[in-house]
Amino acid sequence: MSALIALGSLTALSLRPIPLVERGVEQLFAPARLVAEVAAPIRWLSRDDAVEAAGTVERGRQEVVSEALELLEDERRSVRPPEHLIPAGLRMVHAEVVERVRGEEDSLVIRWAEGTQLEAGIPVVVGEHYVGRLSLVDPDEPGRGQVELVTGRDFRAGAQLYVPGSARGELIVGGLLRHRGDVDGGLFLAIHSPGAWKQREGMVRVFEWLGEGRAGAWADGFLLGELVSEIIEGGDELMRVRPLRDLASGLYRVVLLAPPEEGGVSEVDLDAPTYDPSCWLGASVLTRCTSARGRDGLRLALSSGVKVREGSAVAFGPHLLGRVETAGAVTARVRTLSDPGLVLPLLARVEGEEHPVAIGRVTTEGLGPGGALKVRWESMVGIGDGEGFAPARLFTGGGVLGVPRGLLVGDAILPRSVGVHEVLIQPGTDASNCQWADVWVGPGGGAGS
Amino acid sequence: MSLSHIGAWLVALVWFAWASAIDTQLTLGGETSYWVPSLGIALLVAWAVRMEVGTLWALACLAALAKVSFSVEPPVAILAGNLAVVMLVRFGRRSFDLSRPLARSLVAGMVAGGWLFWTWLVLNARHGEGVHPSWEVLMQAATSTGLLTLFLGGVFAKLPGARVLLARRSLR
Repeated sequence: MSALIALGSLTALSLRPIPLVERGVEQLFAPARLVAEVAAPIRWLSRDDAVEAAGTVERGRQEVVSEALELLEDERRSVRPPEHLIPAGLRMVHAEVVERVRGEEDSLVIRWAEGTQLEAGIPVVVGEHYVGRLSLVDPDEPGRGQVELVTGRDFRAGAQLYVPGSARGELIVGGLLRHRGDVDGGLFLAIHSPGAWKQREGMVRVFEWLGEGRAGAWADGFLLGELVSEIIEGGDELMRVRPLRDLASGLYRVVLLAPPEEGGVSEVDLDAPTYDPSCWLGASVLTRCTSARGRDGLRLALSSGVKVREGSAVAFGPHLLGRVETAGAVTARVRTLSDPGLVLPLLARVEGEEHPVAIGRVTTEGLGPGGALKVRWESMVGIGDGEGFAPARLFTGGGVLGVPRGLLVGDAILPRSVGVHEVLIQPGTDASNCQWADVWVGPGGGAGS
Repeated sequence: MSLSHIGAWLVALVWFAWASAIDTQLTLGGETSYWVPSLGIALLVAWAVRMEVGTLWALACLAALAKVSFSVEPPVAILAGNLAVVMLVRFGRRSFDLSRPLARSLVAGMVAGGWLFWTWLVLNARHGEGVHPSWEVLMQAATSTGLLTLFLGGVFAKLPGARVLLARRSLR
């Protein structure tokens, strides 16, 4: 009977893990590190491949790092709002999305330069796109806060419909209408109290008619999306706004429009510490963990006393290998990119596009032909004109705690259209051959991103 | 527990570690590696059908400890899987002599298929991902591991160190 109870408990914990128990069991299995060392001779069989792989990565390192830094700089330029939309005297404060909390999909956790004081309520934009308001400034951690997105249930923003050569229609926009799984790019913003205007298409821009001089009005003129009209059941007309940015998973970097500071600068930048060696911790690869079901991972040896956070990025040079699943006292279990179900937001350098494209989340489905990574990608807004395919180099985007932006993932041919696509990514390096890796611990070794 | 028994358990741990390491190497980079038999499962079953039933729990924990180093699955899931295997063997041994070649290969086949299903279930429950293993895939895994146990199960029972652990065979 006790055996049955034990088995039942373990089964339940396997399917519905309790983090504290999970960590406890991981500690219990700490001696597994010694067991892995016992089987080291098996690993030595591929030592030559490992040395060759390390050499290849090292030789190409400088080139990839330069490319990644250039990409991040291009991204910075692309999120900078156009001058004509910024009210005179306002400061542009750059911030990166460090986390999207599960269950709070309508908010972003962001980080900006620590010395910059901000207040809740100021607009948050990406290029000419309006995405929401700063809703919370973390009192305990300087330079951290939370953004409420325009998709939030209670979010409302005054807006105007811009139609060239026609009068402007006024409306209130905010919250999600509904997520249409059957419609490509099916994320729409709801319209409240539309006016009696007859236009059925056009661009919808922020216009806070009661916001004169207040923070809300600083975003006047920024784009919310395009008006979409559809006749639904019963012959009624349904109008909604389709955002032109992927608000669900394609926001990695934003700009806050802040009031001026006396003698202050007009633009406050933020460095990406991705390639700062002090943000990484070296670890040797104890074993490669594969299974017939296509699961794929690594077990890393950690120095005792070192704190590694779950979810942190694991890299081989400038190449992303995977993320830490669980970290124990002396080892860490890592899910590699080819492990089915790993979710990553990506930033792409797409051939023919001037700026980097935040393509949003991809979900890995395992290995494809020739060692390629098979991923599922839901393109919410498409790329460029939305037609054909384009070669792209993919890097990590933002919004995942512990994964810095700008690590190389691989090369792929991306469809430009909106919709759900199966994509093959040729990884920049083969994780099967690495015998050491770096784990992201963040600035100051705190594992933040 | 005598010194020779402790030594035998340590040697057994090494055998399980090597079996898991070889399993990992065999499935590296394989798109469809379902025909690759699982040495770890074959070894576990080959020993479990011969070992004294009272020590089967220790065998399950030992095999789990070895497997954890080479598996991306969480330790708790591996332990649960191994406990289920020894419970199945324990239950089966009440009515059948599972140490016979055909019987042990049948058990190993069931365990291999069941293991694939279990790892999918864990992945799906935790991450909502993973492709449901088809009957064909389950059969491939079961057949290959079953055949390995059929032909090499006897050899596994004679590995250095195994003799001490398998000496006191009991059917109850």
